Amino acid sequence: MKERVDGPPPAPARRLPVSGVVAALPDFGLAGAFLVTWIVPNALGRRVVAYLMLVMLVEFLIVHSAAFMGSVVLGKASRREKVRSLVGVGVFYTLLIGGFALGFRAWWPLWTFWGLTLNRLSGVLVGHAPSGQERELLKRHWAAGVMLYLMGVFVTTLFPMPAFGITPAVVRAQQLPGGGLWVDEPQRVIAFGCIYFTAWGVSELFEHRWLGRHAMPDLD
Amino acid sequence: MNRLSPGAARPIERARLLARLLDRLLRIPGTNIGIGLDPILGVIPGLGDALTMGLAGYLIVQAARAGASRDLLLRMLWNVTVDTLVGSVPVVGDLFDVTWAANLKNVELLERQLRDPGEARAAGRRFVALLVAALVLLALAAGAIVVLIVRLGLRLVAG
Repeated sequence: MKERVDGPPPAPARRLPVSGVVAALPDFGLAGAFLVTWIVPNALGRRVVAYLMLVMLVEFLIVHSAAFMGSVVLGKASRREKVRSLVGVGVFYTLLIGGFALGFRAWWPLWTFWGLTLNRLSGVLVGHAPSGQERELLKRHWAAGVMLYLMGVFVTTLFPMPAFGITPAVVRAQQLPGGGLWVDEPQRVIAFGCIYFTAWGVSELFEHRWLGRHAMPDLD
Repeated sequence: MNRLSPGAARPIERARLLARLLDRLLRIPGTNIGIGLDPILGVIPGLGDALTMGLAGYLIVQAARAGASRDLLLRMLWNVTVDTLVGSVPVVGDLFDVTWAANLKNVELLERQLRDPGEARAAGRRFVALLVAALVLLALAAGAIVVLIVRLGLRLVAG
């Protein structure tokens, strides 16, 4: 059979790729947990509001640290200098997270952060620095993370958020330490988490279409 | 303690919300260190500093509308100047943003003065206009610092 060589290129598949669905599932799962907690705060546990507040704090530190650690990993310094910089920045964040972990009496944020940092370090230690499309993808992912985080916080701070099930009695039962807007009005951070992870899930689902339309040049 | 006048309550409420958004979403228990959007905005080169500066400027204008005195507005401008100039230094500035809550300090100063005004008199419109001009100059200075430091860094990296 003779192959057709001309004519319009085949239209991109309309179906969602399995990888996109798999990547989006944890985000939608987390968004669902935030939504359920917002409406029925004790449905998933007695102190879930405090736990989810820590999730958004860890997300903040991951987004913030990615800017410094990313520039170190993608930079042209020697391997030793990169490791030294990553550990130095990691120690600073450890102090911050340690303070919150101590206050909330929950140590998982520390392990989560260092798990991520060791993952970044391993890339430097074994000499696999991201390049070309992978590098561009990482940058775009970070930029998307910053934008989603900023928009989510702005929306849930500047507009009034309904408390739903998060009554003053529920807030007292959480024994939230420290202070700040999220501690005084936890429904804002719960609403933020719900919006943020839903947006991430949607972006994971449709990322392939967006990337297809904006093909990335290979820079290396 | 004196109560705030009805005319001042609304700008103060807006200023407080904005300051908490920028500097104090969550505070580390037992310390005065916390996180807000200011440090995250700071990691976006140029645009982030401009946005932070704009929001801090809006807060100062709200303070002027609420009846802040000249001295107080100058002090607020000083706090924002330190925040902007040190904050515009890459890495060091971003770490500094976590500890120096200029906007929160400004709102606390404003609330203190409005509750106990003493002999302080509200600043005039001309003074506020000068202050806004100073903020714009400050934003330009911060932008110039970022450009200079980035250029210097690139030159050092390139050898």
